[in-house]
Amino acid sequence: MNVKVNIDQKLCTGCGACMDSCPTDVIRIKELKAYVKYGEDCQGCFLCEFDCPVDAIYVQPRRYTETERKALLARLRRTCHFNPQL
Amino acid sequence: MPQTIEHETDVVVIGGGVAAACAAIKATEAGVRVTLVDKGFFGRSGTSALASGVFQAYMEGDDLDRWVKAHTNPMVNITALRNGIKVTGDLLQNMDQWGVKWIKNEGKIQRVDMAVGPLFPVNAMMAEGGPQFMMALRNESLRRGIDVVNRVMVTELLTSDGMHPTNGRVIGAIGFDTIDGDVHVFKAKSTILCTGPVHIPYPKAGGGFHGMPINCTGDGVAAAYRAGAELSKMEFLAGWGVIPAEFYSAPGLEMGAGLGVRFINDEGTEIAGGDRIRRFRLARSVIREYGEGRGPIYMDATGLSPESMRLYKQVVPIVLNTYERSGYDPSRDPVPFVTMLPFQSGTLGGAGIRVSPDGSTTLPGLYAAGNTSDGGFMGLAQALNLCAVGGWYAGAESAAWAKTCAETGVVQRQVDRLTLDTLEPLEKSGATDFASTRDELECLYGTDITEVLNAARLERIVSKVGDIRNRLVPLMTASDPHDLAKVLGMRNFLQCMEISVLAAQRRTESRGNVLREDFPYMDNENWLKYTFAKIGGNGIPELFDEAIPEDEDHRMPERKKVLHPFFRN
Repeated sequence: MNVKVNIDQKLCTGCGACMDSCPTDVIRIKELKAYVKYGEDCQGCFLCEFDCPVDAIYVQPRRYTETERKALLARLRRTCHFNPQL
Repeated sequence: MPQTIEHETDVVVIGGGVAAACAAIKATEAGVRVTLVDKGFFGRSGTSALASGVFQAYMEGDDLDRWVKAHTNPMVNITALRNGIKVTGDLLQNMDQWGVKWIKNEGKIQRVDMAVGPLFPVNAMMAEGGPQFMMALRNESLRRGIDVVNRVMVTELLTSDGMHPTNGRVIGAIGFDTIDGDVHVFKAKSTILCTGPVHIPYPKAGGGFHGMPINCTGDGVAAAYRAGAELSKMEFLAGWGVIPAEFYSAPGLEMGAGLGVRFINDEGTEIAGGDRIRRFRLARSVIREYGEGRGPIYMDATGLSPESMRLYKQVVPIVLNTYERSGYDPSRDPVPFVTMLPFQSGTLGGAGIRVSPDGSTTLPGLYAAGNTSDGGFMGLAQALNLCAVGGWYAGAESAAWAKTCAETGVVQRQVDRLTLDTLEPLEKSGATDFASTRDELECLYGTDITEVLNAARLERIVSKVGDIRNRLVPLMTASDPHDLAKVLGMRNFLQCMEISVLAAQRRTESRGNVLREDFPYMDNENWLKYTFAKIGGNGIPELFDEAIPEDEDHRMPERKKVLHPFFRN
């Protein structure tokens, strides 16, 4: 998962502002509390956190691990390579 | 059991970004009933709420020639561009009245000279970024009595003859609620598509895929194509963006470059430098640096003054928050950037549904604006400002059509068939799911899909995309309505992408972001042409060209072959 959405259940009032604000429908409300239903679809836009009236949400994106960074670099070397003599 | 809910209106606007909001608001001025349908929540979904925080606006007294000068691409209609640029100034003032918070000085909207481009030289800054900007447009829409339907993904267009492709006209749309699965039928005299760019659905973060939003999957472009509308310049679907390597976040490039950020390679050497960063030159440099082993490339904001950094964070809150939360302090740490791979996005190349300058498509009753459209040839860079202008035009034109157009009933058998088609992935079990199709598609990016292409590679891409579409798409199942939106988004994306690849294959030259090592020249003898696509009788895309008109509206270069700037040393 690239982004983790933390919802403080003690602070949450279940108002639904975060559910409305999520562009990718990650958050739902159950028993008057917000919860992360589709965490893998979070793009980390912070809109739920911006819109929460009681400051109950904290969005945590993550950096690549060293292994992921090396794999990305190798892939870019390949995808950006070209042969002007062709 | 899902229910079917019917809506009847004069103008239905599909989408919820700046183009959709401007279209809907403009249409209300003609006194017609307007319904806006958003896949997410209007004001919070789409590209505009996540935008880079600047609106490129003309003001009385500006030198219009300076605005137009940089648009040297022969595909741009200079008169349409000039007219559009003037409208950006009116829209800026309107948006101010609607409640958008701009950075002001003594009550006057402040603009800054921007270093990116310089396609659009002067930009107004949003005081609370894209999120406040779009909420103000939402509030104005509600104030004007626009009926807003949230969380409904429109899947297909309805036609007067019940056919796809149609010989009649577009009379509305059909979709489903992504939460409860109910089917929604919109019967309308005019339909405006503003569904944003063509992004890979929910890709892995970074690594050459576009940034957020990850659910703008070309739904409007694909639906228009299936209904018989012509698409335009689809080979230029990739926008040559530079984006943060590890995140979905947008680059915040206009604001950052305007404040003086630099791009450096792994040796700390500035790339694509100079007084002004030009977007295409920057993308070219980033590709070459990575290809020649001098990556990673970094966005370096360490030279910004504390005041500039504060302004950067104020205007582009989402981008700067992403860096800081993940452990980068942009005042000390350069942030890794990459370029986007071809056949995705569509925010800068002018690809999309073919529209006239007034926003009408090639189908009667159907309009398009923003990144969903080709921009009406106003400009190839469909930034926030021209998306707003396109929406404004489409809103006026669609309302005028709605006033003169006679009522037509929907063809019930078409509604029944499209309902079944839409919900079908929910009925199946077993076969394959969204994630495995996405993973197979992503494998293609980075193996066969590279920044610079050639005929052999394009042939392999055509065959592999065709294979994914024919083998996997019909088998995809959806576990619930939320998942159904992803599955149908993937179907729409693949349809657009396949046309984009076919158009690039046809263009036997290098131009813009279409780079071919087997045809490194811009062929101004044979390829001063627009490429269009429409669905053939057998469901296969038909591609055709039209020569760029040789008139005073188009800046025609000398008719000879010249090496594409990317291949120059």
